[in-house]
Amino acid sequence: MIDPSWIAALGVILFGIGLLGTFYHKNAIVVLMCIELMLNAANLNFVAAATHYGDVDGWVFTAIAIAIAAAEVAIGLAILLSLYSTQGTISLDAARELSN
Amino acid sequence: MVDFEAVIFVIVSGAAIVGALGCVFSARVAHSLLWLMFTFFSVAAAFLMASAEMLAAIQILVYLGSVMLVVQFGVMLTRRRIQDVESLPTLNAISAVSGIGVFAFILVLLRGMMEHSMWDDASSTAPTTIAFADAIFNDWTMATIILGSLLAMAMIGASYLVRDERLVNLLWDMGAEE
Repeated sequence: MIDPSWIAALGVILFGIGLLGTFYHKNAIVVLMCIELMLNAANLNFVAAATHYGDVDGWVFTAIAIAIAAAEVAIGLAILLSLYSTQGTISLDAARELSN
Repeated sequence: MVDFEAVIFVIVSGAAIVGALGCVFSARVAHSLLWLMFTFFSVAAAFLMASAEMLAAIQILVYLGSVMLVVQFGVMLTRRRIQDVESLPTLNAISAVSGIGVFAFILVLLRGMMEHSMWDDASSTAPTTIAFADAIFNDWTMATIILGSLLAMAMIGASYLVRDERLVNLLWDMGAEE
């Protein structure tokens, strides 16, 4: 079996790339996708720890995190769609209704 | 003697990293989405290599099958160029600086993680899928039930957020003439 620390290292790299994407992009959907990427990196960390300690709780947390990610995507896209219908764009720079 | 498992893991993780970079640096949103699906598939392969077969199946079924489908709908329904919106120059500068900062952050985090003392003690055997099912339905019953109600609330909230309040459509719903 593969060394669990390698899986955690992959998680770290994916988390960093996802973090970079959230800073880099203006399109709200791409930012949402990068947040998904970071969630997946966290899941990799859970799985690495569960494999290392031989404890199944890390898997349970991963399953819960995946289900919550599904709910988060549904809510996030609903918010984006209502933003699009009121503002006509989903650019994060253009949406400053609350600041005025 | 070449360790084939290590070679396969390097290929899988390389694919995941390439996919993630492609997701971040693609010009089109649809291409970002495809790269992201590629990454999730590679992560499922990494789950398999950690002997978490059930999680790999959940990853493919839930993430690749349904979450990415929902995101695809979002991309289709909000199809508009983003670039024509002028963004503040300070924000662009912050993006450039944050790229360097994130790179340094990755390096520091990798070093701290790989040298952490938790990896010193010998690795035990990986848990089994039967133990996983036992944990979900016996030890974490309450969490699973709460998770189900949370999902239901999220779906109801999402459909409430995207409701259509235009008067024409409301009238049409109630059977009024055009």
